[in-house]
Amino acid sequence: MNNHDLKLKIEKFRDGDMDAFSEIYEELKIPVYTIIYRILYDRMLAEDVMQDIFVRLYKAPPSLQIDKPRAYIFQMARNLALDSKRKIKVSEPLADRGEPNNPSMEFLVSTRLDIESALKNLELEDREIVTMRINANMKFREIAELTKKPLGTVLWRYQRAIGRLREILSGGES
Amino acid sequence: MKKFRIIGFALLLVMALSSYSFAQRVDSGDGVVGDMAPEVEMRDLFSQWEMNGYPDYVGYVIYDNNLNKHVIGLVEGNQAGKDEILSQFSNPEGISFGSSKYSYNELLEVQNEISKDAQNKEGIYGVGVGWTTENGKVKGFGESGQEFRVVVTLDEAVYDEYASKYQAEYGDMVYLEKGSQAVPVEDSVGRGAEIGTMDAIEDKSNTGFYASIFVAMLALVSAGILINRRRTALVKQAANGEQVTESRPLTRGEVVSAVKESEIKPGDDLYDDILDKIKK
Repeated sequence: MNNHDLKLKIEKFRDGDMDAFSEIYEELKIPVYTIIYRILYDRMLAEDVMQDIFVRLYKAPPSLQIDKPRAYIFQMARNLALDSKRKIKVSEPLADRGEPNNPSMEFLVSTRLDIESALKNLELEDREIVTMRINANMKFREIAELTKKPLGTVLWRYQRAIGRLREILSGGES
Repeated sequence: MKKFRIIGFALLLVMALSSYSFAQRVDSGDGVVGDMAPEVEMRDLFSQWEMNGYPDYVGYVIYDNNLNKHVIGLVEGNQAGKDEILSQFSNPEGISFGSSKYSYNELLEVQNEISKDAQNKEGIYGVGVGWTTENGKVKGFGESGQEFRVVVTLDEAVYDEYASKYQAEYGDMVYLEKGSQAVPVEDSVGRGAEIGTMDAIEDKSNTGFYASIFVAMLALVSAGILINRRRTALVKQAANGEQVTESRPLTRGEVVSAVKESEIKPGDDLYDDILDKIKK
């Protein structure tokens, strides 16, 4: 569903068409949830944030003036997930919740490598860029706008992150 | 300066001769037209890319004198891109493919950013996409020595300052080379030389010079292509949990596919929970 189709769906849903709302959810649930999860690494918290996003969307759908509703929704997901992460940091570090945030190489090797473990090794910003680019199909320019970074920096960080993932997934060497 | 001028003239001469020879053989109507088809098709493809922009899977295009072929550097050896290019050639033997870490479009974006950043800065003489020179020899980048980078020519006095800045922001997309005083920004020429004049470009900002060659799509490679990939043992767990053992590192394309496949689905009941919340 491109931005144009999404706008049409939002318009329908604004007119009370719940099927359109359901279709928007089906279309966006995976990229939105992936973005949130890769910030929080906690399924329960991620689902809370996910609920929050779609309830907000229902109550206040994006204005028709917004050209890129996909990016708008992804930005909302990112902001709410980061807020949630900040709140947790104050009360309880994520690393204490049974999901290691930055496992050592030994940990990775001994527990069989997988993509998520490798992604956890990236800096949060790099992981976000990779997720937004690959899982949410966002353009680099959109990611740059969303993260408020120069486009070139986003491009470089993406390439560096993919290189790092490649290194980890190739057994620590490239 | 003379040295670069000589290299420059030599390159231009070969380009001119190539064009002349190319035109002559195409126009001759003596039965060799068929032989020229790859070059004609290549020229058409270049024109099309120059007009409409390069596909994101193209990193560089050069002419390799050893191979007597044009070499198109594909980002991560993009197979779909290769197929797309080959589909436009009746005789694909006239071209060869290499691999590029970055796309030309990505490098142009970085070049534009640095050019803007450099507008009011002292000591930056040239920003271009292309190759550099080392000890008087033309030198490309990457394993093949053919790849392009954003080459920034700057004064020795500011080298360290910008080296750390650009390294942090752009990593190895950017290559810094030391140069000397150039000319005002407003005299800029060419896409690859938004800062500095042609004199400056020929003298030290070969970045712009080579970028202009890129525009002409006839950069020369005198060295052969040497690919020497290190092979390592690999244990990869695919996103679906299946363990795959291979004898080579993952390609970047495979990493991207694996990340794509690793997307995470929320619980099946979540939508109902959302509807419940909405109703409340």
